[in-house]
Amino acid sequence: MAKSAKQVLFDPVFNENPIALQVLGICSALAVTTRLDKSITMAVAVIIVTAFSSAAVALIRSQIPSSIRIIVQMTIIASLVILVDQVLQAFVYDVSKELSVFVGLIITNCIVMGRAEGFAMQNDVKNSFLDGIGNGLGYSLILIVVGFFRELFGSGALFGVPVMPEFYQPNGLMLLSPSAFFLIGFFIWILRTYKPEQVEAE
Amino acid sequence: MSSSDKDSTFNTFKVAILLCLVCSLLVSATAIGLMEIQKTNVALDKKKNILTVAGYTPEEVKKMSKKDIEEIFKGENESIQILDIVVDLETGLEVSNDDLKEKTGFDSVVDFDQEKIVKQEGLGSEIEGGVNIGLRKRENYSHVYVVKDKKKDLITRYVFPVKGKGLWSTLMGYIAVDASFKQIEGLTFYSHKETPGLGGEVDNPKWKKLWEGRMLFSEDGQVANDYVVKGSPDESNRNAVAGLSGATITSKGVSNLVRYWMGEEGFGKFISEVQNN
Repeated sequence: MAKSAKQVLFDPVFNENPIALQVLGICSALAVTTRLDKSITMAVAVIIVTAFSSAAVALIRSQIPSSIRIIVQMTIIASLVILVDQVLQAFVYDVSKELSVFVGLIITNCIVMGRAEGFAMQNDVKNSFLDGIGNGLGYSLILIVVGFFRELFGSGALFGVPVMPEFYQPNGLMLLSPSAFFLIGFFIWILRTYKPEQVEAE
Repeated sequence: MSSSDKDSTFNTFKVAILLCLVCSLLVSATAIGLMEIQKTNVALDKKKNILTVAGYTPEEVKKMSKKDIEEIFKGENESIQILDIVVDLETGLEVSNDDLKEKTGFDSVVDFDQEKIVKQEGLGSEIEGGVNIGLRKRENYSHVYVVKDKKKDLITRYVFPVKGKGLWSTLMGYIAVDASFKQIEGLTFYSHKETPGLGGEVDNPKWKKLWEGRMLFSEDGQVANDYVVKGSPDESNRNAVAGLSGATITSKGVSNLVRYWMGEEGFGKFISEVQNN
């Protein structure tokens, strides 16, 4: 069943969210979501890498020998990640310094690899590009929601600007990785209550 | 194209080689194209780090524009100036621009990159026993940043570049001490790759604040045995700060790099030279 371009783009956001349904890319979702600006930078980086790597893989998919296809995908993804990392270092140095190793670790983010192997190898360039953006958006949605709540309750601020009333005592737990587990858990819970078909069969 | 054709040995090599060529060209072109911008970012970031130990709070530094920062270093700011000098660590004396060019080949103090001379013959020295900072050699010439109160025409602080191995990486940073070399005014690192959340906490503003006002030397006038201790330091220990939990090796590394660079092999000769004049 062929999907329309719109479905390809937006299905991964709610219906097939890479983190909430496919449970991919959790590691970086825990690490970079302590502040909203870090979350957003990471989200943009992942969208760009997923979209362009999927498009590039789709473009040469008829030429890729099956014996080295994973390595070919890896090479494309790794090159794009270095590219993004260099651009971040040049234009948003402070944020890139705080994201430190996690930009480099986009290479090992299962979402990027998963979409290249699972979708782009069978589909055309346009759909693969949209699928990449869509999955990137799905990842971003969770990153931004989690980043929002962690910064709000953990530092009492948004984008570094204090927004909570004076008497609010920031909750240090929200800045530690486990809090992202709770938040992602809540997110999955809400999403599956709203869309019961996403619950795995017992 | 049939599938057997695609999977042939020849095609496998062809695709692999072409892909590597295209990707490497792309990556190197970006890296070279953006190198200049990245270099200015790194240089600016170092200056921001110097400012955070020179008496400004991190929030104040964050608000400064590039121009504000350059003005402070050029002496165009009316209340504060940060003077960049190069010191010969073997003699403790300041090196003039001409001597610097003759000895190291760098045109001026501003261009001088001490990381580049470490391995050059005659410009680096073996690090001899005593304090282990995990490096084999150190440069013979180093920048020192002199912080001046322009209104009172007084030197308020000295900022020294320091470095040493932590757990995974070499920590590079700055330590600031007051003009009479009595107490530490601040310590900051602009580059390291320690574990985020553990050793990476050397960047934590709360931890950095602990350094302010600690005594530089122990009571006999020598460097202290420890500048970072496990748990909290005793009431009687006026040199050390509390170590980072879960980061014993990073903590030890920080302690050692302070001991080394404030000691005789580091800036010790410069400090005695200033004190004797």
